[in-house]
Amino acid sequence: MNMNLGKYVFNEPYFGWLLNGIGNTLLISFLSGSLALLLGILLTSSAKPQGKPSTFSLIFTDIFRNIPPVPMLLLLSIGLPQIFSKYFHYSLPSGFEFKILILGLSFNTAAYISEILIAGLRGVPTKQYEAGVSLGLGRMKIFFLIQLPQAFRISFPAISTRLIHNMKNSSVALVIPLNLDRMELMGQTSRIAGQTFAWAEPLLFSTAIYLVLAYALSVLLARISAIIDRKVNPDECN
Amino acid sequence: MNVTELLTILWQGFPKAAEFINPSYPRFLQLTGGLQLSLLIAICSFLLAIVPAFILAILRQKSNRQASTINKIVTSFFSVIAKLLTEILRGIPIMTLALLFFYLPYPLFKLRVPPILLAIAAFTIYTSAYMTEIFRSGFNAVNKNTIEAAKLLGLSSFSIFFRIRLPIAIRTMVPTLVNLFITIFKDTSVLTALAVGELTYTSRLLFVSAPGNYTLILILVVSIYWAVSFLGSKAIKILESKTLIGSHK
Repeated sequence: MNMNLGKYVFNEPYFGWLLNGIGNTLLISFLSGSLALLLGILLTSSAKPQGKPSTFSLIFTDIFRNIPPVPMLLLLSIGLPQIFSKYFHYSLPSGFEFKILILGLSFNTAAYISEILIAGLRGVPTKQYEAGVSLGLGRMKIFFLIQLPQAFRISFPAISTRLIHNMKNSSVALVIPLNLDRMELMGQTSRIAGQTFAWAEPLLFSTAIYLVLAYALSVLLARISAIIDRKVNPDECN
Repeated sequence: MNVTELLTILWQGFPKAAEFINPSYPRFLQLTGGLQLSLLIAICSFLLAIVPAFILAILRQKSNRQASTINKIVTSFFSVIAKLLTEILRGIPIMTLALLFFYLPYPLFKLRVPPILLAIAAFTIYTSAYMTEIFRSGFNAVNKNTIEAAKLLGLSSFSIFFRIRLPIAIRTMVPTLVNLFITIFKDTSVLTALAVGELTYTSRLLFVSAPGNYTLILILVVSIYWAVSFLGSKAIKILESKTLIGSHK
């Protein structure tokens, strides 16, 4: 057993690469997570007030929930440019893979989040919708002001699980060709291994970082959940 | 190259290219194709994970109030360890876990293990962490009155567990377990980064031989994954409705 963390991890330029990787992982998971939340809410807003999903969101969830991220990202990052160059004679700009990565991850997570939110919407009593109608509110106003906050409160634990999963999913970016300064943690790990043949040291370091990130994210989301619980309290309304 | 030809290659494997890329592959791997290998890894790791998950779930059970202090201390110690283990495993992405299993055995123990076994081991560990939670919640979901009635009838704690608690818990666990299996099947695609010849990797090998058709190949692969997990999710819906009827009887 001969580990040399000082040589392959805490040494320039490797440590700088890993820090860059951590930053990119955080960036990717933040952007794709917030985009997924937005998409999930939009998909849920088209559902019937009683919690029956619309046909479009049903198709979206069925497609993107059942495709694993790796082949989907391969299709988007290698197949898409082929299609564009073959049929539209247009070459995608360099660095589009990063945007595609965020888009692909967020589609996957949004499919799950919309399903969770629809289940939460079913947990909101239909009386609330009827009260909104009798107050003369429009459909969208009822959804965003009355139903969504309560559905969000009910389903936030499940959503936060999905968001943590989204952060962990960002590690599949290893399989797609990203620019060197855009690589996330696993990408930078394999970059170090590619130059030094040392897999064990950077890999153990990045495993520890993922554990810390997952724990920190779960603590953060628990805080947010407590805040939502305090702000949206149906018992106070009665 | 037409679609049926591609499908047969994806199902039957791509032995020549696999030999070319990795000469140290075990012989039987050359006979298994991409989809077969994905299913093999998923099924093997799912079945193997049942044992550690069951042990961890039992360790995480709370001791009853009448137990002695030493008994309580011992059980809480084991439950804390089991909880720590599952939480740590759930915090590591499967990509990192698989890479750890592939690149640590040699520098640490000077071991050379065939990649397929390493893949199955990594997925077994990964699966057991999630399966523990399913087992635990399934055991806790059993009605307490049922257990008390069994105690009144004078059954031993062993037979209460295996004759009363387990059969009732399995009913509620089956849909979630099928869901877990689908998740594992989808997650086997990360093994692509490690050159294990599963479905996505086979498609990448095909890319070497037929670069022009890569989009078509990828669309086929994505639809295979989609079809398997879509059928699985429909099966879950049917199972869920059946278990619901069972609980109302």
